[in-house]
Amino acid sequence: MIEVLQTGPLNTVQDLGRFGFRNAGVTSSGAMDRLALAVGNLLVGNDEGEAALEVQTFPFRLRFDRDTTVAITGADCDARLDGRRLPPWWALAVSAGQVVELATPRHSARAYLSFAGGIEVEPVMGSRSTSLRGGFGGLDGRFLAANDRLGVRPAGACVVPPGGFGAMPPETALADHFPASEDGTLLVRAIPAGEYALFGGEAERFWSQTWKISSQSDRTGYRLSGEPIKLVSPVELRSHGVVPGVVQMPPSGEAIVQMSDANTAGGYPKIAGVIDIDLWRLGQARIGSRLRFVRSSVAEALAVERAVETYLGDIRRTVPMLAEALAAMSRR
Amino acid sequence: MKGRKRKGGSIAEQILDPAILEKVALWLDDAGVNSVEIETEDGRLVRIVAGAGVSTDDVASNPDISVARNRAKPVKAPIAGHFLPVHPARDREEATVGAAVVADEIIGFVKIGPLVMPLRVEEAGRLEGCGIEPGALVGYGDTVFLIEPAQ
Repeated sequence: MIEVLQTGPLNTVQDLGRFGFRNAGVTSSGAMDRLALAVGNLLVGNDEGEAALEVQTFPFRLRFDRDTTVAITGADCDARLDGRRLPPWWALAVSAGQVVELATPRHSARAYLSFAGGIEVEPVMGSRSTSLRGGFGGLDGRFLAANDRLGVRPAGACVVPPGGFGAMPPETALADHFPASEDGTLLVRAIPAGEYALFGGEAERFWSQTWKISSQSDRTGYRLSGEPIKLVSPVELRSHGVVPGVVQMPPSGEAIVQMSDANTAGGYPKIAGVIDIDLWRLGQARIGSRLRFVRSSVAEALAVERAVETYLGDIRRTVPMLAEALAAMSRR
Repeated sequence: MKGRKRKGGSIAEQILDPAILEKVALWLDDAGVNSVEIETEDGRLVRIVAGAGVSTDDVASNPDISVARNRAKPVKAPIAGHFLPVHPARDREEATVGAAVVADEIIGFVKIGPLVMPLRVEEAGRLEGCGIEPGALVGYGDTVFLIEPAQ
């Protein structure tokens, strides 16, 4: 068991998401940074989709009721175990009674706490993710509160070196595949969507201008501030399916990017779709930070997906090898 | 080099025995090696330097050997890989030379493929130095940092 000692609002249990029920109006939910969730799970010996805690409001403190292995990935929250500093993207063995604490990150937005075995909550429609809007999944369909106790599912033997070990962060390991701008503006790759042409020459500004993530942003979607982009002439659209990554352009002309708790349907014209493999970076972008959209292609998106799969595959293969190597050396 | 404990005092005392020093100097000379660092069981380093004038003829009668004892304790690479003084997700070192460090503190990293292993302090003290260049390849057990133990 783990016990939440201190938490802000909106911290939830998440896995990779709930799929196959969007036709019934069920949002997919799932981690905003699926890559950090996957890496955390692999470090503690889980399948990459096990349920973990997504922490986006701080400070967050947690006590372990039994010995286990935990990984902290995603945003660098200057994590501490009983006051002792831990590196980011780190996994380590913890003992019953120890307390882990996450402070407000300076750069990114969300941290993930993965436990060997995964969080024990009842799956709903095939997923343990919390659907805050639906009020189901995760821990009673709600966000975490102080004194909440969560079970951790049984895990096999997990060999972790003394002091723990970590993964190369994807920003570094995959730097060639996730370009960074010189001025720190997040570059988000997107592909023109269904109603792109209806914006005529205005659409060019979608790519050229720098957008700011407004305070009206959450797990459902990010509302972006910038110079408005208007349709050439007004259109009435039938409601249509919407998925995470869709960029809608409401009449205000300020873009909305649908995120993990995306609406399942909408009627605003779609100017673009963020490539799926860039959504984790958007999930780590903070309110008030700036981004630019970069025109991409299906071929590029698939190439980046392959690179990410290789990175995860490397971690999946190397974790048990490292454990074996350390065990062999300790016998010398 | 770690030795089995023998009768007649600690490894450190035995190494500083003149007769043993002579032997070591001979070995060094035969091997064409100028100096050797020996880590004793309590983690201390003894550096034995064979002087330029040493020859096999007169070493037995006139060993030209200097011994420097250093109290510093090594922080060793837990695995072979590339030394990272700064965590790749951070912009500064975990500890700088001269800084006080505590037991179990992580003061650097070794990158092995997609994974990162910690370089951990065993005993509180002061970070005396780092002998490895950032990014350089280190072997298992190589000394990366030296810690001057707290008094």
